Amino acid sequence: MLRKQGRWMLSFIAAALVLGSVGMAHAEIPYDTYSIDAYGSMVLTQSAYTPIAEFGKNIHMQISDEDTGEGQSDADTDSDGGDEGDNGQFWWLDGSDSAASDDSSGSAAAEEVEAASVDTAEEETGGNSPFWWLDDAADDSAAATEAEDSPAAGAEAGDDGQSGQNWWEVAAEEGAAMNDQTRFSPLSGPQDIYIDQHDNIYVADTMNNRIVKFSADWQYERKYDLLNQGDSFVNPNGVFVTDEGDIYVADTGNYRIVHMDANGQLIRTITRPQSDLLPTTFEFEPTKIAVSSSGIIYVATKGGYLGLMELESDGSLISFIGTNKAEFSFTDTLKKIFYTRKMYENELNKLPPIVNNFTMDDAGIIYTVTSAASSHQVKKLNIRGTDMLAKRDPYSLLSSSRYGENSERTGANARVNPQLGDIAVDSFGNMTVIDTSRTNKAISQYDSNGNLLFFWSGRPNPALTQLGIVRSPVAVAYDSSNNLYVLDDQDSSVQVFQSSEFAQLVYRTNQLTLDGKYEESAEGWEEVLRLNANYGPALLGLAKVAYKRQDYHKAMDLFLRAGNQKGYSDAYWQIRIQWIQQNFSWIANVTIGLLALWLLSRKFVHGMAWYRAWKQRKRADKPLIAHLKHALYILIHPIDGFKAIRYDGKGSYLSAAILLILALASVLVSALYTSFSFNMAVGDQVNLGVILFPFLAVLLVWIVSNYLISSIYRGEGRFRDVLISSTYCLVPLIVVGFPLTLLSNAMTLNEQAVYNFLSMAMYVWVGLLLYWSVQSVQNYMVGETFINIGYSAFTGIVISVLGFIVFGLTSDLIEFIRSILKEVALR
Amino acid sequence: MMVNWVKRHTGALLKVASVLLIIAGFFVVKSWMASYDPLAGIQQPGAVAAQSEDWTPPYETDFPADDAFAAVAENERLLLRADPLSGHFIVTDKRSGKQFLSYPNPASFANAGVSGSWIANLRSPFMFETVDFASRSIIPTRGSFFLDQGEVTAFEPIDGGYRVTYAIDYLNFSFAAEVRIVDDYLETKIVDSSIREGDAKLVTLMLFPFIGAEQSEGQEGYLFIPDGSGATIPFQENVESREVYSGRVYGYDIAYDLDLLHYSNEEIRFPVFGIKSGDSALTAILSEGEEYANIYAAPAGSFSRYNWVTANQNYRSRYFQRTGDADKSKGFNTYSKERFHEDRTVRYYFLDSEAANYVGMAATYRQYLIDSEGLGKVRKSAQVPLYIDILAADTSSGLIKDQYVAATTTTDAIGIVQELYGMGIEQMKVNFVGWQQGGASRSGGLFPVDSRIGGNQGMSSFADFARSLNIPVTLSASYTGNDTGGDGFVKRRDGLREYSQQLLGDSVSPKFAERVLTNDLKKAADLGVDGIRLNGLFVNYLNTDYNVNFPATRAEVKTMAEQLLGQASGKLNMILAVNPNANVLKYVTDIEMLPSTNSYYAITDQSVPFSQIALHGLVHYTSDYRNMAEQFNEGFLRDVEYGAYPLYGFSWQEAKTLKDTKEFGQIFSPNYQDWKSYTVMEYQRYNQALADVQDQFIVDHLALAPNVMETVYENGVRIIVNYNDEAWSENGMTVPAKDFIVIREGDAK
Repeated sequence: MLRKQGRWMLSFIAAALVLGSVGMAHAEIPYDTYSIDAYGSMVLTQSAYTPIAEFGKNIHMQISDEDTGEGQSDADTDSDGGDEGDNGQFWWLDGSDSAASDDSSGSAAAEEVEAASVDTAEEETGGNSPFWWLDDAADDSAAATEAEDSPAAGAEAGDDGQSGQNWWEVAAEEGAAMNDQTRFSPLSGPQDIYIDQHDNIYVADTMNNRIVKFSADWQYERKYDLLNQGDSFVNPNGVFVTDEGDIYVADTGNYRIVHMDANGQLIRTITRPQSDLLPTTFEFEPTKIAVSSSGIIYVATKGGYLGLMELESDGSLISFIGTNKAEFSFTDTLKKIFYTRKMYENELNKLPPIVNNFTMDDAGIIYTVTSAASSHQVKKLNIRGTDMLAKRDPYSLLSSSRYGENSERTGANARVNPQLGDIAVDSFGNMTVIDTSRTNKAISQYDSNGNLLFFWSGRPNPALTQLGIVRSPVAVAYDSSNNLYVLDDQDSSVQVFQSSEFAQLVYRTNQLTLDGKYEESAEGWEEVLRLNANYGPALLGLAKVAYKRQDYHKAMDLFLRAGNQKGYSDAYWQIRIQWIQQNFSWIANVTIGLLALWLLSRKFVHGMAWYRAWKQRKRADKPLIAHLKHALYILIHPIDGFKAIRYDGKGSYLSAAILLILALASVLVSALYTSFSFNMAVGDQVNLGVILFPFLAVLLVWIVSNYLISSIYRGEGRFRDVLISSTYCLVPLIVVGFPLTLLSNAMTLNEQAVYNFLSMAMYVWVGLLLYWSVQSVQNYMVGETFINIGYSAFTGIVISVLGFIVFGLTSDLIEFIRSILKEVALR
Repeated sequence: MMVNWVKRHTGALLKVASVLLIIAGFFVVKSWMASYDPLAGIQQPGAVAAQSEDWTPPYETDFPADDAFAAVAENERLLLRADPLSGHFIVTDKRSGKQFLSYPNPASFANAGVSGSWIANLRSPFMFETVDFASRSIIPTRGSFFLDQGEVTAFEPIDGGYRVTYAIDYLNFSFAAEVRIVDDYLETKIVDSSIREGDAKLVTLMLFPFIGAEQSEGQEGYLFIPDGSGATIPFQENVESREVYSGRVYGYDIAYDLDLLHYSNEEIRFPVFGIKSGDSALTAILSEGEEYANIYAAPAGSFSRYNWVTANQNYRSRYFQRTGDADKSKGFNTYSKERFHEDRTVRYYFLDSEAANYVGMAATYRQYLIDSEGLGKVRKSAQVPLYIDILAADTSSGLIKDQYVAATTTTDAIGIVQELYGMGIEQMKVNFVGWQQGGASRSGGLFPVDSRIGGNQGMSSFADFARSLNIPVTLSASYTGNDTGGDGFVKRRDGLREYSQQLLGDSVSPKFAERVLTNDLKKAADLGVDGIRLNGLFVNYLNTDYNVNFPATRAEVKTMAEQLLGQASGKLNMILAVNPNANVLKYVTDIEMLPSTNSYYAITDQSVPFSQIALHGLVHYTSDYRNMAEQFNEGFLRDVEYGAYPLYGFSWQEAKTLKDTKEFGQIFSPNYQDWKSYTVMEYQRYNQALADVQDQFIVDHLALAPNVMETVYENGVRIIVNYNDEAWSENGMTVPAKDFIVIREGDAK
């Protein structure tokens, strides 16, 4: 496992060392599977799926088959090579292609040039991989392509003009008799996969303009290309097969839907429907398709920001469903404020995110995936078109409706919106989605309520394909035994995954939890936890069991481990009410007793001698004590108080330092000890620097910038006054912060309003004090104060930005010069 | 006035000018790099072919005729005949009468599916790659004997065979190869001292790459590669685009292979390969200079229709010359200037009929380990061993600095061992992980045992206690890295460096680590423990070190590793190694985490238990932690099939307290309490399967039906494992679903 980590981290050495120190060489399956707990940290889990097979690369079809296509097939296969070259992954094939197309590449020299130039290309495009054997491959496949130029092969093939073919095609023809008259024609840039009820597999072989059918045991069976009917597909992107065996093809490049029977005989085509609902500019480019049992046709179209088209079986438009809302970011809002109307209108071509793909389950429920959205990327639409995943269950692991996980939880890549390419639903209703955008092409699996179960991805090895690691997933599907099929458009292959025993246990148990059968689920979840002690869904499942069994302490602990605030708070609410019920009598007695005591004391104690003596004791005249007491005075009389700091020396650096430390302590205590109901970070690792550094940095920048502005803006305050008074503004953090942290531990989410109010009040108070401190210390009028604060804030921002730039540029420049020097020295 | 202004600003102007110069210089360099001709200066073999007219190929037809081969050596098993014009040979296995050729099977050559350079390559006795450092492009050029018009300049008999000297004139390249037969094997050797190079420097050399090469048609066959537990690349007909496998023997050298660490695959621990076609097979063992070899397998459909596998000998290594300090991706690829030395010897063994498969190959390798490496049979005990890694302590990141988390103290460990012993597990082998100062994720300055888990004293008393139960105790140690500065380690002085002198993280120079390990061995012995568990450096990490204070080649580190482990096995009774390289096997008493799968390469079939067949009976081995098993039940069945013993990682503390620790937090479920009853139950089943065969060699391994596997031991015990969801029965035997049965000789069927 520790070696596995190394795959993700550039700090390869960390991996190497870790491998050294403990040495768990966990690498059975060449990718990592994770789950996430509610704290957002990844939990390594057993693999949900084991890779078992790959197919689609070595398709040999009967030449007689091909010939029905009036010579079209040659064009087909030519485009094969070209497309493989285009996709850039197999750059050595790229090399072989260019060599192949070069008719004059008869000499070995030319061959070497080709190979070598491919190499340099690789080297320059940042190919820093030391895969020297790739060079071999380049070299040698270029050499291999030379085959067709050799007189022998050429003569036997009987056609010198075939130099555009790959060597194996020539070879295949050359050995035609031996090879049973087949020709090699692998998948090329396939975009969709569909598995029918008999587990036949249909692949939309997009670049080859055909649909390919495989049998349930992954053998090539036949192709559909309409060529025998004088028609053809153009870039078909989607395929769907009805229970009756009819095939629907989203014939994207022909702007139509094709409906064939199981033998590939064209039944009808459906073109752009006429409807007032459609904008005049709407282009009907279907990419994905599904047909319900009642004959309603659902179509995803290219650039389909309007959602899925719902067509009557005769092809007329009923409506759009699953339409997304346009997303407005903070910058959009700013633009709206600052841009002129005209500029804003230019900008505001804000269309809703596009519904990329969808699938339909046996019950007719439609699952859509959206790319480039920041949330609700997955929708589960019932017959009426309502999204059943719109609201998240508060007792689930994740609070946001974000789909599409990323194995990089931190760093720039983590914040990029996922581009979900396809979704598949297994017999449990678990949804599996693929992210086509990121470098780590993660596959994520959610249960039918949208709770994350697993996600996994692996780094593809450029030299050798590993089962289980998909270079570029474009489509997913399940067969009837819940095997997962992932279509790869770069490798032009399909990988098959079989669910693991761990995943099967999770699915079965989770189903019980989803059905509300908590008691029955207990045993399963305990087994899951035994196998993986930190697996979030199991912790949550068991927490629900404990809650159901009224074992609230255990429930609280489990909800805490799973990271669910709502459950934790609910369990605590139960514990609290039980406690109050049990202890009500003595609490009431003590309260009444104390009240009585207080009332009595007013009457009697005030008259006593020791009380009067205490009242009139000699007050400490130490200035520090006075300065600290002044902090309390400021809370109630801010204007006078701050004036006193400026003019009467009522504060000192020492008192300011003490207050600052107390304020920092309050912030820290609040971060560490606020009840889990209000503070997720409790369970996570808290780092002192992360909490305190921003706080101190902001304070310091504020003090400096406020002093600078004040000194040129008619201010009367000295630096000392600004510093001390600013620190005194933090007193509410101390007087409210500490008690609030304490109080939070007696509160549940039901009292969240109270908690939020108090915490908000604390910050407002600090803000007000800040205002008064500026006004009093600098002796400003109201308007001047606002202007000063505005300027100070602006200055603060400028200082920070400049700081970052200077720091960043300097290190960049140094790095730049060093690397040039090194390169010159070392070349 | 202008002059004055200039005078006043001279300094500033100079600065501006120099900055401009630097920028201009940068662009000049950049455009220069972009425009250079990568082939300038490299002599093209093809071009030469067109010019030189006095060269005539030794053969008009594709291969030497049978009568060109003259007998050069003969013994009881083998007959060696050679052709003096090409250096090709034919060896005849006298038992079976089968012939093995040093070139591809000529009968099917017309169907090789190649032309041009590959016609020449396939016929050649060797292929090579060179680079020319004089040209600025560092791209290796592939050549071969026939493609580059090589000549045999000398052919002389030696004891048991012949020595042939090859020369390629225009490259000024020549080397001598020795071929001889010894007992039941044929040995080829590239004599290092005979290598002469011109401007074109040798990068790789494959000698007799096509020995035994066959096409797929008409026969069952596969290429065997030592990937993980072992993998076979099946012969396939009608496959057109297949990938080529290449892997460095004994794993990556991080001085060169940094980027490869990103990928997840098994590495080569055993320097063997093989090819099976029909009812004959050959297996090759790299016996000298193997640390510089790659095993290279090209199935039909990659370069030609021949399936071939060979040792690709590296003489220079490609590495990435970094130029950026912060940005690690900046730089360029080039090759090391110095040539790697060492003779390169490969032994070929010829197998037929019954033995012509991976079981036979593994048996051959096992015999090699016994004969040449001196391994002997393990002793059998009443029960199978149960390996326990006590997870002692680790760190997690904390409020200010990392927090030490004690997971199991030595006293807790006594509790664990006592309880398991009480429940009937008597053959335990206990290893401590994270006992060192600061816990598992700390390296460097290991001793003394951290006081927070009991200190030296606690460890000694644990060892005493264990000794009373006859349970050996080891301490986990790794000398790969040092992040604490312990043992007087100063990174700049003592750190491992790659070719361009960059430090490699916290890695330690092998020669520095050598000293530390020697000291630690004594400390361990003083503590009273029985041994150490080694991982990383010396065991499965062989790295060239370019640190000028401690320069060491890969070969030197390999020798150092053997000496150190030899020394260790002199001082301590038990050397437990994690997935070790084959060169140290002779010193290793037990192996942890021997891989039981391969790398899942798409070109390979399911994994085969080559390493298990070779090692069972010679050394005890475990698979991965049972509580880290990807599939718990299947993992158990796999262990039974492969003869692997159980290994658990146990902590006393609950899993939730270890969740955030750096190492232990990654273990699925470390808590002993959650496992003990399962462990005992499972241990009984391990015993039931494997107790009787602990010291027995595996003599056969086969599939009786899909997912029904049989392992046969030399004492006749047969273990049949059924991975299917349904029971399997045949000949009156029934194996329940997801279960196994053991059949002993004499059992009624």
